[in-house]
Amino acid sequence: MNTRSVHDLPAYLSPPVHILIDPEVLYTQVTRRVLSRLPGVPWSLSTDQRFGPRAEASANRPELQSSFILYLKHYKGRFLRFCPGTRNYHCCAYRIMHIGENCPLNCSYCILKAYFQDRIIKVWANQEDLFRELELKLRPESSLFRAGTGEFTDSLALEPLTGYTGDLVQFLGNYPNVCLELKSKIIDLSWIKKVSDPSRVLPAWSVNSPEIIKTQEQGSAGLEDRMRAAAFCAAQGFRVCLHFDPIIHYPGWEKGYALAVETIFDYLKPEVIAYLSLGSFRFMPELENIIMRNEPRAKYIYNEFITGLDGKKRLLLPLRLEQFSFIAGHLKDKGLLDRQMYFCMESSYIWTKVLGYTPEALGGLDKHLLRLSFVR
Amino acid sequence: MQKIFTISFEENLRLDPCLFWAEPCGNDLFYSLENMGQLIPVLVHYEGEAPVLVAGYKRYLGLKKLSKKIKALRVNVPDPWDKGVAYLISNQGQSLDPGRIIRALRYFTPLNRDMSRIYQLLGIPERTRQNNLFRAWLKLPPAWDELLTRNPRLLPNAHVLSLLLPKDLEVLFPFLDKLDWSRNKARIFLELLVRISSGKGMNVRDVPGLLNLDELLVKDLTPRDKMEAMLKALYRAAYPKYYKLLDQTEKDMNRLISDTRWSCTHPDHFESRDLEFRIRVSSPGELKAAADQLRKIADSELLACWPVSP
Repeated sequence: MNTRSVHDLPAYLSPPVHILIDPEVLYTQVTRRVLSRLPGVPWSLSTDQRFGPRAEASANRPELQSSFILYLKHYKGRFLRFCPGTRNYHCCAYRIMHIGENCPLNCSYCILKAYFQDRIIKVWANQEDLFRELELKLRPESSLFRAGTGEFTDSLALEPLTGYTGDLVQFLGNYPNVCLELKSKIIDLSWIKKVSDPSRVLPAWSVNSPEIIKTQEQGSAGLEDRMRAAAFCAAQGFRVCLHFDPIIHYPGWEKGYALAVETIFDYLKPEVIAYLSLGSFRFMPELENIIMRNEPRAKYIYNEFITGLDGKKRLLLPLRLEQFSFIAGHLKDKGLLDRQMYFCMESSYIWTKVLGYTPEALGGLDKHLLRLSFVR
Repeated sequence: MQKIFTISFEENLRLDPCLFWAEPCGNDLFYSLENMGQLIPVLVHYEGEAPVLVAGYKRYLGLKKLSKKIKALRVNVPDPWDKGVAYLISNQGQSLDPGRIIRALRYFTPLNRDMSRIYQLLGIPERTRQNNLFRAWLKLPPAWDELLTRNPRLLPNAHVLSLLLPKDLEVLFPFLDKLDWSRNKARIFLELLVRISSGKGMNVRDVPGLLNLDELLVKDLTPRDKMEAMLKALYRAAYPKYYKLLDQTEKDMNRLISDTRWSCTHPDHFESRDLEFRIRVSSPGELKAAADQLRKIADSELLACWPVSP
């Protein structure tokens, strides 16, 4: 065990209480990097009966809620996946590059709490298998891919430990047919120096009303910090993506979301935004009780949620419509074009009511966003 | 080896608090004691010269009633924890319903020892859902245990109940005491109360009064109708915009199908604009009449404004 102390971690990232490592990935680049950046943090092989199961079990203890166990895993599944959309709502059809699961941030509404009911953050440390799979699947060059790593984890939250995104953008530098979206709620721009073509990487931030960020997105960067980082990226030649997701219906939301739009355009010109999504808070039914039980701050959960056509809970349609229309109106006032906006998992009815057309008018949402990703 | 000795039925044994499942001697046991005699000794601990019963309460009662001598085994268990464990082990094989389990837990928990063995003996190992539910129930006032004994279906609601304030529990007690809720309806009842109170920023205890649930509780209705009426009132209070929309939609749908045998519903909570029309027919004549009625519905001017428009 390395006995040096942990230092230089950002405020949102406390060191894990333990690191579990699959033996197959003990000597990989990611593992070596994590161990060197977390000196003094105890680690063990996942096969070690003395530590593995005990550590996993302890990860469910409530007193460890503010901390986590980092599991450097030899991942054997598919790294490149389709976004799990459903047929009743329009999906953006983004391809997921699966690099790990769970997140060190503590957002009250986080869907990952329903997916992963423990405090184990997993990183697929067998990067060479990821790259091997990508080599096979990202061909031919004539096929364009819009992909991202922010589906099952924050794209950048573990970057100070793993350097994963830096490696990935470097690897994808050889694939001009891939546009990689990095979706985050924190600020980490360390990967920028490894990007060879800024037009093939889309730094993306989740945006929300300042009040929601402050009260519900514990550990995340403030909206102004996010936008300052986005402006820096734009100055470096990147275009950025923004995601109003989840939009939360709370008393005073109009003021909060109007302020969020103002703040965005204090820092960004509309033309540097590749696209912007609007997504109302929706969740698997199991998450409702988890939030009610564990998140006294999350009063929004007591609003009028119904079961949608995909089996997930979502806000009653007139309430969603009201919020979408309000935010879209403010965005348009600031110069964002209709076609730079899309709705995440919404029906044609919502599209028509707010924007006046359905994704079919754009040639399909997937193709439209692909075009927006690659346009210069 | 400890010897079995006898105690006169006239002797009044002191009862140790560890007899947490003490119950009257049932007919089967009484019949057995009468005809076959006492097969298993009771357990007695001596405090000084005074014998104290620590297990075998029903046998003790039955034998006293039969005026028979009581066979006893002397055990040396001065510690309340050990007495409880001896009692628990001597009662292994008893059916363990939630009421019994919670009585045992109420005895052991204040003794502040490692409860894992007790949980094991009670068949609710740690880190199981059942175990978590019992731990949550222990946070309720002991008066609630009687409710659990009568209606074990309340146990799954332990988490929700344990988060309520004592005054809230006081107000809710009669609703759970006087009505025999199913497991699912009890869950919905409590969740809606919490949802409404949190949504409106009020105490849970104020919701029943706000919605006149206390009046419903004493109204001359069947228990089933009372529960249905309460849930209906709660749903409407928890989802006011939804029900306003639904009422208007149903009104429009009913106008559309008036004078026909068709029923009309909207199945998707306003996530679609779809309508479902249904009818049951049992002859070609009825089918023809239904088709004519459906044509009339399709031609109705009322459809100029589609009934489902969120």
